[in-house]
Amino acid sequence: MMPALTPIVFRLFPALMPNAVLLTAVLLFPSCEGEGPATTSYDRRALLEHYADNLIVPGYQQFGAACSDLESAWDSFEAAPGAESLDLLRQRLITAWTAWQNVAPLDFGPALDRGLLGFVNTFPPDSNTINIHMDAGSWNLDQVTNFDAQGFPALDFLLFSRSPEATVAAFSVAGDAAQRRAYAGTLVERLALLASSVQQDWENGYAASFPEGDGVDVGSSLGKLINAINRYYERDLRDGKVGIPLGVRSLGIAQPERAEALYSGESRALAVAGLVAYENWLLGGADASAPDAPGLDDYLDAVDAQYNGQPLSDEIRAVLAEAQTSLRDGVTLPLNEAVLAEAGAVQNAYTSLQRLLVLIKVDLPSSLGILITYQDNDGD
Amino acid sequence: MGIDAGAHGQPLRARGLPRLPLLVRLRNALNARQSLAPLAGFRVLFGLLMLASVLRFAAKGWIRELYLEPTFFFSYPGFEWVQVPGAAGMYALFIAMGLGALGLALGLFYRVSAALFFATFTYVELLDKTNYLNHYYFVSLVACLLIFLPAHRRFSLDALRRPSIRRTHAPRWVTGILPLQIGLVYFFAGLAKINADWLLEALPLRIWLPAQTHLPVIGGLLAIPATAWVFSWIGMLYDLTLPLWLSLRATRPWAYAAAIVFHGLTAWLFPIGMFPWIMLAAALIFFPAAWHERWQRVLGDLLGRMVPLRAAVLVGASGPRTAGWRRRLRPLVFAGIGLWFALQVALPLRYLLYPGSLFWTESGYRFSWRVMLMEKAGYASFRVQEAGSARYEVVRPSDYLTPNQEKMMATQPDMILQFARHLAEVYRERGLTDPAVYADVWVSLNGRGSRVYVYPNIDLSRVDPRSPRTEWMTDPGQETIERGRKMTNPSITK
Repeated sequence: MMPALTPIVFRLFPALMPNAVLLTAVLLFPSCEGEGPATTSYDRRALLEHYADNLIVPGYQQFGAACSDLESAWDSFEAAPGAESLDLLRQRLITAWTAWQNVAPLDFGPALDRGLLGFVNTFPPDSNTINIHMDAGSWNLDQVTNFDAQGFPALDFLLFSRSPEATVAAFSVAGDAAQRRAYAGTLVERLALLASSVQQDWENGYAASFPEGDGVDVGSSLGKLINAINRYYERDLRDGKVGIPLGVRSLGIAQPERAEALYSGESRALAVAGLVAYENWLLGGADASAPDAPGLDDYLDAVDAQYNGQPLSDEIRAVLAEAQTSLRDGVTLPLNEAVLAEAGAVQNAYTSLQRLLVLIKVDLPSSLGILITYQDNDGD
Repeated sequence: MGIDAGAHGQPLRARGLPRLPLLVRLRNALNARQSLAPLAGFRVLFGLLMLASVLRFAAKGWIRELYLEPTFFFSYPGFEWVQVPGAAGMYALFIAMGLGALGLALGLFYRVSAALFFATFTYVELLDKTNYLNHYYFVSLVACLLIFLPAHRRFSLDALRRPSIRRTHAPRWVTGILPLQIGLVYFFAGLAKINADWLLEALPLRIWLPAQTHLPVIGGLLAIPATAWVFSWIGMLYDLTLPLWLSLRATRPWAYAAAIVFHGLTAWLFPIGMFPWIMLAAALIFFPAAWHERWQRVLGDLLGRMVPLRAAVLVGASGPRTAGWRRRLRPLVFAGIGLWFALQVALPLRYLLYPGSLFWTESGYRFSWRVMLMEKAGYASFRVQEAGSARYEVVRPSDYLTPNQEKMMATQPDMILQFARHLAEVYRERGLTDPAVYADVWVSLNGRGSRVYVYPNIDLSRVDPRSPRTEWMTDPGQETIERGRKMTNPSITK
């Protein structure tokens, strides 16, 4: 029969406890000196500060400025519709749309709260709904169902679907010119307002608090950033801009009408801009302009992340460059034409994009111990 | 019916067995009467923790998120009949589970409560492999054992209500069942850590610990490379031997203090929910009867001020002798116990029967106490092709699965197969006559870099899930296929 534990041991228990804790702590602290790098600590706070102050906020400032330039070009065009004012307006639309590509992946925090991604760039635009809105003279653009009746794609439809002469006429002498002007004006104003709101959210507080969440869980700043850029890359860049027009979601049957910027034909340039933006998010800015700026690649080097025996950061840089080349140089036409005329080249670009996706979705978070699930749950 | 407490362990004389004193001694030891206080104490703590777990699960919205939002579930082979019974049914299951846990804690309608808790908890766990956790499996096992154990015969409301069931003691072969089960869990968890990555490379701790350098106090410690090795080795030795140190009187306080530090650290560092607390509570069963009797007496006194509990709750009268029919069932009971523990030893070792690398193919990985053993991340996309056609469609799993399901599926081969078969069904319903499903999956194990996980040119919808996984999965050691550059027209062939 097991003897009862003596009361002495029981009484001793509270007294022994601190000793045991101390002993365990001592056991856990041995050989602090020597062997290998002294520490694998990486200053995540500095990394987050750099991203917020030197990449994200300037990115939104640039986007905000481009949108307000677009607004002033619209005002000139509205006041005096003509070939020249239309030309400027069109240029400014493409400039703002390109600036958008840089900040589009940041779909967390202020951008997520304001629904920026859906309101700014849902394509293809629904010309039917746009026409119904203009005819009725009333609309509610806050509705999710009206994502595809606003933003850059809707302006692309309104400003580029006709020849310059016909466009000027549609906005000046056509029977519905007044409604058309009212609708386009609303879209431009709305874009500028959204852009400046998110920019101010970042400038007035979010950028300052961003580096404070310096953990690695789902709710940490790094977790939010990496999850957001991965999700955007997969859904919007690889699939939305390239894969879906190519037909990967439609049994291999190309869907050119689902390309971005269908009317202005800028889809390839915008996709390239979207990919170049990943130099910011993955490398902490183009290495040439700021070689010392901290980036996720430096963080990977700090923890000695490997890919088949080589530094993972090298592989990411190489594949990112390869993907840019395959899209910028391999594809020569706008994507809506390219998926029909040079499908092989688009397929190659898609394959390169896929390779980078694996690196940033599997290798990168796994090497950094970042939780990538968007769902909160227990593990073991 | 169960194993019951009424046995009176009369010492056997070595009648005609003089040459087998060891067996006799063993038999005597197994029949020796032990206090039921540790078992009753375990019941109370386990019930309370389970009640807290149920409430926590519901409060976090996980009933909806894990069981009502998904449209597809990864069922276990043989348990396809376990289905989500609708929203009302799900909430009813959890209410029943909570009532069962409460019944366990109070020792009220004990056997019904234990059975209710076991059935509802296990049913929910069987709904989706995605949510498999070793500690859920542990809870199911313990709940199953509790149905048969006499944990309600003291310090319980049942003992208060029905004096006839009161007992203070039971034979050791009864009281020893839970300590043995818990000991096996720790032992196999330690055994699983004896592998090259864990001990020689300090993986995956070498990846996980530096990620936590922002924590106060220990952050700086975690940044030191040697820490990962120290944690790995201590963790292995700790798991392997903890039951032993907890069983010995001299080492018990130290061992339990170490357990507090160990489980406290893991709770702090990793998102493992209730697991550390459950294991800390479970380890108390190794504490001596006197200790349990003491806190139960103190608690009983406290409660006794309000209701006349004390006498009935604590001092179980010696009840009548075990009924004859129960004694006659005893060989069956022993056979059952033997079978249970044979299975408990066999399950963690079954991986030895499968070809391929355990961490890669995960054949025999679940139900084996492999806890926090590897850093594995993956990405899977699927291609559906009409047989005989060159055209295919790329499927993004997130269109069918929750983020959590997608993440779990991407690194677990049986789930990849299940999803491929599901896709074939979906596309057949959409009008394809003979869809073939191929997968492009990349997996990185312990930070070695992403590699192609399954052969991209094998139609997974036609793979027999019982066939060896090495037939359709790559070999992680094969350099030639590591770099999965081509995926849409795979040059990688089996």
